[in-house]
Amino acid sequence: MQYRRGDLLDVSNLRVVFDTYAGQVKALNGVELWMNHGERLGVVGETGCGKSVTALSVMRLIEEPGRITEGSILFEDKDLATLSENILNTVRGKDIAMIFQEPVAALNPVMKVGAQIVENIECQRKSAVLAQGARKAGPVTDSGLSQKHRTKETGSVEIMRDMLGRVGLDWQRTENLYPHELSGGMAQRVMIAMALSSRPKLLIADEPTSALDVTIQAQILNLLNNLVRETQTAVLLITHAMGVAAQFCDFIAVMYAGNVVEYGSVQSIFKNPLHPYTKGLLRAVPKIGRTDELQSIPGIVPDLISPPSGCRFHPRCPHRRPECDKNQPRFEPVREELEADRHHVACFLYQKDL
Amino acid sequence: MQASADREDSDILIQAEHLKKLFAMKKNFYSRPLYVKAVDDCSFSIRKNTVFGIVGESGSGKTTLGRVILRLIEATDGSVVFDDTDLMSLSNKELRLFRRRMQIISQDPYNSLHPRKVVKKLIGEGLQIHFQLSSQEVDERVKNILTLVGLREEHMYRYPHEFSGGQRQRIAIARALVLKPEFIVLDEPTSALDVSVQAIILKMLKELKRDFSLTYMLITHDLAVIDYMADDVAVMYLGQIVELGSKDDIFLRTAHPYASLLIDSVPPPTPSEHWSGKILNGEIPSPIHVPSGCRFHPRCPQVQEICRTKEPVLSELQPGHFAKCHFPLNS
Ligand SMILES: Nc1ncnc2c1ncn2[C@@H]1O[C@H](COP(=O)(O)OP(=O)(O)O)[C@@H](O)[C@H]1O
Ligand SMILES: Nc1ncnc2c1ncn2[C@@H]1O[C@H](COP(=O)(O)OP(=O)(O)O)[C@@H](O)[C@H]1O
Ligand code: SF4
Ligand SMILES: [Mg+2]
Ligand SMILES: [Mg+2]
Repeated sequence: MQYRRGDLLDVSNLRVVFDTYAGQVKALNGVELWMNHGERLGVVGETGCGKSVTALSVMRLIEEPGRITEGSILFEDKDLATLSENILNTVRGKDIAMIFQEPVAALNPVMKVGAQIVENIECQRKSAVLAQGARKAGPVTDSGLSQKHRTKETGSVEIMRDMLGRVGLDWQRTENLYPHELSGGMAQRVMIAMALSSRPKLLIADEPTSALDVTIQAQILNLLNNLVRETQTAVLLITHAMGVAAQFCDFIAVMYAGNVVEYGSVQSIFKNPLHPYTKGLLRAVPKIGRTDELQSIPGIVPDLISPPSGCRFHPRCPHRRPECDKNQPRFEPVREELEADRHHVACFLYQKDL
Repeated sequence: MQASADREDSDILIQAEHLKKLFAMKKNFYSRPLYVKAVDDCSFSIRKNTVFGIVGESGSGKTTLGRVILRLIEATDGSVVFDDTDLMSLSNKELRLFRRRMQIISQDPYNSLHPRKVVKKLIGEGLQIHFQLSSQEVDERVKNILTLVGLREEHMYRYPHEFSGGQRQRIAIARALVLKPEFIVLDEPTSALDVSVQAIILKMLKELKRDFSLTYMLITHDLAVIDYMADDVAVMYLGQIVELGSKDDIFLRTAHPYASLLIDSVPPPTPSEHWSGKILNGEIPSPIHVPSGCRFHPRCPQVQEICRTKEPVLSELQPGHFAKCHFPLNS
């Protein structure tokens, strides 16, 4: 087995392209990130930097005209980048579940929400049985969800009702509603209920609160926080809101134009940002009580059909050096910091052998 | 009056009183109409050369209020005085001419810019309506304004879709500014933009305000943006202003429980700052069937019996600081 940096997920050198009429979009350019069981990793960065493509790759949901061209996605003992569709189906939705920014769009519009959750639970059970035939199941870690989740004879309907209760919805009032009858906040709660009903080891949440008011965002984050702490579920949280990442996550991966340019503990990223892009991003965030002027990053995000050579940030970088447009900087650990911080950066300013 | 009771009247550019906008909704042809109370009795004044911020959850009536002020939608009731002009009394023709002095920039520059018009036309057409200028003069002014908002001359002959979101917002700003307005309603001007682009646009809006003595009404759901930009702030809930005061009144001496929970809902942007974890429960109720008494009472953590039956008035706690609550905080 390959060396793994995280015992739950280790994405390395992930490259994804989309072949479009206008040309090949080099969307992911060697993404690096990892996490252990139960950890929370925030993926931050601006529109188009590759957050969603990274998440979809982990779910192996990249579809035509896109494809993974290189790299590995180690999930426990499997490489999701190369796993067969059959085995993949036993992981997807079961060990790894996902929620999105537009929950109403992710739900079936003509099916009552209770029935959708039940269907989802039964589907997971079926593939779990198939999986046992297909390969010897690895050790299943007991998670904290109530005992009845583990008892075979518990009906899916009971689990659905229990899950609706856990996400703060009254099942009697909710199970017979159609998606369009739900507010944005309720729909996201339903999605969370559905995603967590299979007791996943990893929950991928792609901008789960970006379409919601701050008050509802706070409710949802609080709910998620309580639920995943209870079950020790790891969360890969994609967001463009720095505050959400800062408050919810243990580790942060900062993405720019298809690369993770900086990775590390939430403290190391916010207290000691190293990459010029991370620094610029943090200085651009307005905050209540802040009295200094906002700083912006000059220039605009590059076109990924013909991305800049070398470091993709070099045309906008205030510290660029002669080597920056020649080679891609290596993603390397920041040596003088604690190992527990896992602080890594991809920038020539910090490369030791130069 | 109100927020600026202690200030000279001549400082005031906009004075809004008892503004109301109800939208009639009918289930079907025969049913009795129901009314959406989008804006329900809002009074405030905006001082010249300041930024008046309006904040609240979506559906609280911010956009409707901004449009009613400009008479882009007709108020059901109430008055707006702009400088010395009673806007409500203007005829349509007079209003069209007056429009030059008050502009609006909205959230989605994609929808507000005509897709088939090149930038020169988008920016120049208002000039032709309001000032009788030769086409050379129009060209000259369009070029100047483009440079001012950080675009280039060669952008004049491009279409909106050829620009990024941030650039389109610059075009919208140029189009409003070229008419030399005194007042601009900014309705979520950066909500669709990434933070680094937002930072550029907000800074630019600040500089333009200073250089051209502009007055802004800034509508946003983002409290951090309000804090960065605004001088005075109104917090809206279900069509009403529930707290009104200087920025410091709102952020440092918060009086209304809704305003307080709204501020607490914002996650601090660094991990070292503690997030209070106070949660505002429930969701904003329907503006058709508004709750009795204080409209916030079903969600208010400090609700008392009186709140369910008696509507509190927007009363002055300190000079210029108003709250609509029977039990204001910090008092
Ligand atoms: N189906 C697709 N076809 C072509 N390009 C795509 C497709 N999906 C994503 N991309 C491109 O991949 C890049 C990363 O996109 P995405 O991961 O959605 O960004 P983010 O989620 O960070 O906003 C963008 O440049 C985007 O245009
Ligand atoms: N043209 C309209 N017809 C009916 N209802 C409307 C109309 N415009 C707005 N509303 C309603 O008025 C309320 C306030 O809306 P709006 O002013 O857009 O709030 P905000 O800008 O604070 O989100 C909402 O309940 C909205 O649905
Ligand atoms: S590698 Fe060079 S161009 Fe890239 S961020 Fe670092 S200094 Fe700037
Ligand atoms: Mg995305
Ligand atoms: Mg609005």
